[in-house]
Amino acid sequence: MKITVDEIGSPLIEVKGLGAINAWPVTKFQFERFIAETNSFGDKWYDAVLNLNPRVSYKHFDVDNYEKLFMAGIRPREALEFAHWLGPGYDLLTVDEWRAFYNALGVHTVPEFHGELSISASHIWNQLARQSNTLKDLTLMHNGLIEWVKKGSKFVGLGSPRASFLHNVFNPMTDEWVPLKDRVFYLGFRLIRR
Amino acid sequence: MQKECFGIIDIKPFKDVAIVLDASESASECQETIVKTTIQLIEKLPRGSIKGLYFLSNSKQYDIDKLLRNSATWWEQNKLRGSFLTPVLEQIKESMAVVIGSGPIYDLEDWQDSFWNSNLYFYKVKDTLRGDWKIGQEFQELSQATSFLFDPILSIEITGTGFMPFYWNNPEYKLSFAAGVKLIGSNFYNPSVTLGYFGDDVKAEILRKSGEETIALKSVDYQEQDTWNTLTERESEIFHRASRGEEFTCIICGHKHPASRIRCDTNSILGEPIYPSLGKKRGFILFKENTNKVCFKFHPVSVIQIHDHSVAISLDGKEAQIYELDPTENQWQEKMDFNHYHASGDSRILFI
Repeated sequence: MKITVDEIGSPLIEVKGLGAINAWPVTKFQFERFIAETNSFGDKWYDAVLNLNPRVSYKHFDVDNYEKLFMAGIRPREALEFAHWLGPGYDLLTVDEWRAFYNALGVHTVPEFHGELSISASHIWNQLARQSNTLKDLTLMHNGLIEWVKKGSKFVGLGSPRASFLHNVFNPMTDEWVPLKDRVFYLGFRLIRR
Repeated sequence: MQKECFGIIDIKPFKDVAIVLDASESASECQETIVKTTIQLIEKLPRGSIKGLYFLSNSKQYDIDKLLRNSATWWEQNKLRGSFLTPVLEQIKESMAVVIGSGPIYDLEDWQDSFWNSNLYFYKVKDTLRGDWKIGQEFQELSQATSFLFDPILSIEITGTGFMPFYWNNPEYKLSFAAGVKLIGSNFYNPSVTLGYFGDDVKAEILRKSGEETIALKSVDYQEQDTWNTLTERESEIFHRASRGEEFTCIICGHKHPASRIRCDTNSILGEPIYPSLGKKRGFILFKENTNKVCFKFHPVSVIQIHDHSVAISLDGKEAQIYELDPTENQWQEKMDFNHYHASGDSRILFI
């Protein structure tokens, strides 16, 4: 496993045979850059997202509110637009890829990383590393959000948020979350570069 | 031993202001008012103070002179970018910014506790831009805008431990002994200055309408740019004799004068310099002897370096005195009268 950075300075974890995967779900800060550059979303759209899951700054989040850091309340097609904007090869993970990434993380400890992270990613890395024992903790593959993944031509959710954020009994290795409505406060995403 | 230093203060008389317009959906009803307000604000600020025109969420700089003509197109180009300041603040750096618009800016929390805490202003045309975030100041009256954004420098005082300037290139600065040795400038259009000085921990205290700030001098390698002029052959002869303490024959009156005489009062009560090439300028003059000619140049200020630890000063145009640094007190003290043709390195110094 190797850590690199994407086009906007966010960390990716490279897993042999899979690809490079966001070290944590896409943040609001990352997505805001996309909104600002593309001139196609606007305040009303973002207000609707923030009403579901308010924003916290990458400088000020902590163990109590880190879920607010991430871009939740988003639809899968919007996530794919972000992937397309970020660069060639980026996509939502498939169910199999998400589970393979989860397994690959195993019980690895958090490595030192001194790559060229953006200022915001550097803040997030340091804060998450402080509150994490393992790489799985840091990546928030558990205790994170439910994440959009691809299943054939459809989209389902995988993940196991902590109970204080969302009461659930999901086992992401066996259960798939099928959304009743598609814009909810706990649904975010991460990307893979294949 | 004091070491001579050269430093520079490179600063504008007022801070740069970037104007950031809100063309987002939350301000869409206010476009006309935003344009009108912006034009009024531009007219009230000093032209040189406006750093550029920007839109929220967009790092591109727009031409301020084309605002009225292009506003509809520019609004269209920016209306769905959301209300974010980060792309603009990352671009402009080190100035003040005023955002004119309506409705909340989403990413202000990211800029709290930064340089922008005290350099960001929000002109709300309708709804609050700042919300409850503790950053910058929000206002709704144009008169408030100009009082916040036009923040001229009222004075600059340069001082430090054992400070003594011996050269500065901005005549708006004057030497003061009132409370320690200081170089003080005030009410100037251009506060930038390059100076040569003795001293440690030398800083400039800048007083603005909004308060005080202290900056350190930026160290520079000083390159002398003044040109040397040449004395005539007869003047050179006078220089050779007088600088060796010998009497000389005056060009003006034809009589003998003692070496200490620097003005001839034959034709006028005030007298005229025994070196006519010097003209009517007053102050310190450096002379340098070459093989067959004597060159001179005027020193621009009322203090001149004599040696590593001493300077000559003429306060208010009076006779010059030599000051030396007392190393135990770290203070400059008057030691003796300055004698004409004082030797300093390979030069001689005269005070007229």
